[in-house]
Amino acid sequence: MTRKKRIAAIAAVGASALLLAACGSSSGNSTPSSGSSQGASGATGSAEVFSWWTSGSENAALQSLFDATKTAYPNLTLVNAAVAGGAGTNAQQVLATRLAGGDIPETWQTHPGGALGDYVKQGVVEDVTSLYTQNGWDKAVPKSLLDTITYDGKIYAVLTGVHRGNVWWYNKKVVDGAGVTVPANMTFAEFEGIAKQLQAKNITPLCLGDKDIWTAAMVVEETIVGEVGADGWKGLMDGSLKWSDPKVVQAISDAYTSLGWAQKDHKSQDWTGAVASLAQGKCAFNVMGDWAYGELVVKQKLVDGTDFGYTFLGDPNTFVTVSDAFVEGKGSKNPAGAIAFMSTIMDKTAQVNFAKLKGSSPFRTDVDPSSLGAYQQVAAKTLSSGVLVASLVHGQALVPAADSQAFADATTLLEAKGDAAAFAKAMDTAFATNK
Amino acid sequence: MATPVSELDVGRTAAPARKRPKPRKHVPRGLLWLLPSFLIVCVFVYVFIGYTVAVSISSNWRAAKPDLTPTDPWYANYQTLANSGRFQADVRNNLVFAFFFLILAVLAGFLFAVLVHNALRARGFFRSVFMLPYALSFIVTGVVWRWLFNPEAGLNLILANSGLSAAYERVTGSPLQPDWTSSPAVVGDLSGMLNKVIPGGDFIQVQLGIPLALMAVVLAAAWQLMGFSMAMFLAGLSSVPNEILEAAQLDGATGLRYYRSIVIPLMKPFAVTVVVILTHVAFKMFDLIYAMSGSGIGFATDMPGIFVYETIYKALQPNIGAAAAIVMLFMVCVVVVPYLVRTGRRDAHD
Repeated sequence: MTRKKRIAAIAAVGASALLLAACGSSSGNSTPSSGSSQGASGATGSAEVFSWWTSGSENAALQSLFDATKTAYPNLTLVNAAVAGGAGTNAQQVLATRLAGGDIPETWQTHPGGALGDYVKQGVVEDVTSLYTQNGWDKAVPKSLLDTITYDGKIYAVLTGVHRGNVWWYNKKVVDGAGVTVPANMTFAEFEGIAKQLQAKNITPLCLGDKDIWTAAMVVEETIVGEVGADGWKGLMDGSLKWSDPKVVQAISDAYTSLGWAQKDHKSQDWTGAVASLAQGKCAFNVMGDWAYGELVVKQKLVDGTDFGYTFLGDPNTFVTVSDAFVEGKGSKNPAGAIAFMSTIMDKTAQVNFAKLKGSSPFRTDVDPSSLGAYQQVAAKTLSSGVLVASLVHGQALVPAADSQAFADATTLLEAKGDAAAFAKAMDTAFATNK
Repeated sequence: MATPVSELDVGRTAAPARKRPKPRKHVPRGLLWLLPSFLIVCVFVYVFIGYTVAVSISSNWRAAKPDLTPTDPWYANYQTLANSGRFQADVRNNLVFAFFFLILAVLAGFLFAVLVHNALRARGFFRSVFMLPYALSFIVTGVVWRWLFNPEAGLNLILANSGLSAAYERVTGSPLQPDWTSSPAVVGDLSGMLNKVIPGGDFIQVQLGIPLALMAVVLAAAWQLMGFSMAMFLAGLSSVPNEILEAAQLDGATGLRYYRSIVIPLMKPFAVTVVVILTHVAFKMFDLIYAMSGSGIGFATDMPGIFVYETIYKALQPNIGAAAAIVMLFMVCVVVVPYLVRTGRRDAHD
């Protein structure tokens, strides 16, 4: 053979070898071995924990769960298979590929409601009702939250913590400096009055960072919840109340008015930029879930009660829930490992430690929250005694994920045209077509 | 005397014993080398495109539960797309973006190529400076231009502090502080005309005009990809033989006339290549826009790529996302396939 042909032959053989190696390694993972079939207390081997918690307080909170699992199950090694980016969409994409290929992680992160329902329909998650009844967890958690992870009477997940979505944070120094009093909870008319007073003093009433539209969608959602109340919102979710009901359309219109009070560069900022603007006193209010609490206290180094405060629109006892769930994958190599991790999540001490780092309220209402921050104690109390409704923007409600996307799209159009009736019509159509 | 002669003897013997079928012997071996790549491309590109088409007409396909039962009628998902205001806006945005982006990127690239080609000194330095944006990732460009287009900072600050904004205010009465990507305005609207042409054309829910926010994105994209078109045109300009330049000078065609009548016609094949490549870049644009402005106000900067991504991973509707992806493929093919056919024919002629 000539030299050129010899090189070509070697290259071709090399390429084929690489191809075969790639095919070989992926097929090796598709058959689940028997793993550890002992009870969770004797869990051994390794278990993959798949999430999108890769940075900052979220990663610290995840590590606290890992440490707690290591203490309780010393023979179990947890593998952190977290995937960064896209606020979870990257992780969901990788997970979808793995589920299709049969490489099931032991446990993965998801949201209660539509996302969990999707996994249940695909038949890839295990029923963990027995865990709840054996350990008495079903008595220790809020019933309405438990309903968001129950399908056909079977429970499919555990929750790490619960964030509250409908909080109106404000910069106390800016507001006091303008001579404005903010009540502990307000009607929209009162909020409008406050906004006008602030505008008269040349203060931007609302900090908004809606490069990602979900922040604006949150303003719309929390305004609707504040005005139609918990029963109204539950009616909207289960279809008994139509979006084109005059009360709902009025709330949408009020939300659009609020969006008009935002600072000029809102489209170029993300949510952390908006919180930073609030911290720097560039604007007064920010409608955000209580993950902003961690941002304000830890990153912006503000003091709760002195530098910033919070209030609510409508009934302060209506708690819009945004939580994260972990499920047990069906057909993974080490189901006992998954159960061990999920049991640790529900452990009382682990729940409080997680809440401290993540800024959420513990899922279990029978824990002692006195070691948590001031705001968190109030939130935990509301979680156990208040009325809980699920957030649509964060895909927590028991409706298909397409409805959450429809809400986000409708908000995009609302910002441009301000047509509340069109918003309501789009949502009614979405709820009717997406089943 | 029929002695079989191996190909190694070709150069050595003065007169071969008989006419040897050399070309025919090489074809099967050539095919053998091509076979692995061909199989890979067949499976990973064409078979998967076929599977995507199947998913796009399915009613309930999920990754872990692949159910390819088609919808009834089979084109139901495409109908949903056509009636979706957001997708209509996306197609409008894609076409408007591609049009203005191509004009800007090709013209600017050609202009800078001419300038760099004729630079008296530091040609390499200027070439690198203009090429550098092309080396950046789209995400970096998106974030930087998002900061530049921030209505309260960035370019608007420059306009305010340089006095341009005040000068503009004196002439028109309002300061020159454009909204850039925050602008909800759409200039022009052809929907009215379209209603008269297409029966039932009132299913169009968006203004068929030019979203101003998109023009800001065109600026950022052209800034980045101008480097690519400049590189192509530089190669083209260097390939103009010196004899032609001298002949033109002898005949008195210099300066602008030289460029208009000689160089630009010679640049045509390079221009066609640049246009085709930049068109399919424009049609698939995703990360730049996602980092810069997301879907924009009223979907002013939304693109089919973003729609596919959100429909599949946020709305969890892979069948509609797949339908949108097939529409994107079709749009790209409309541009690329004639080009491939034409170059294929040209190669066959050579």
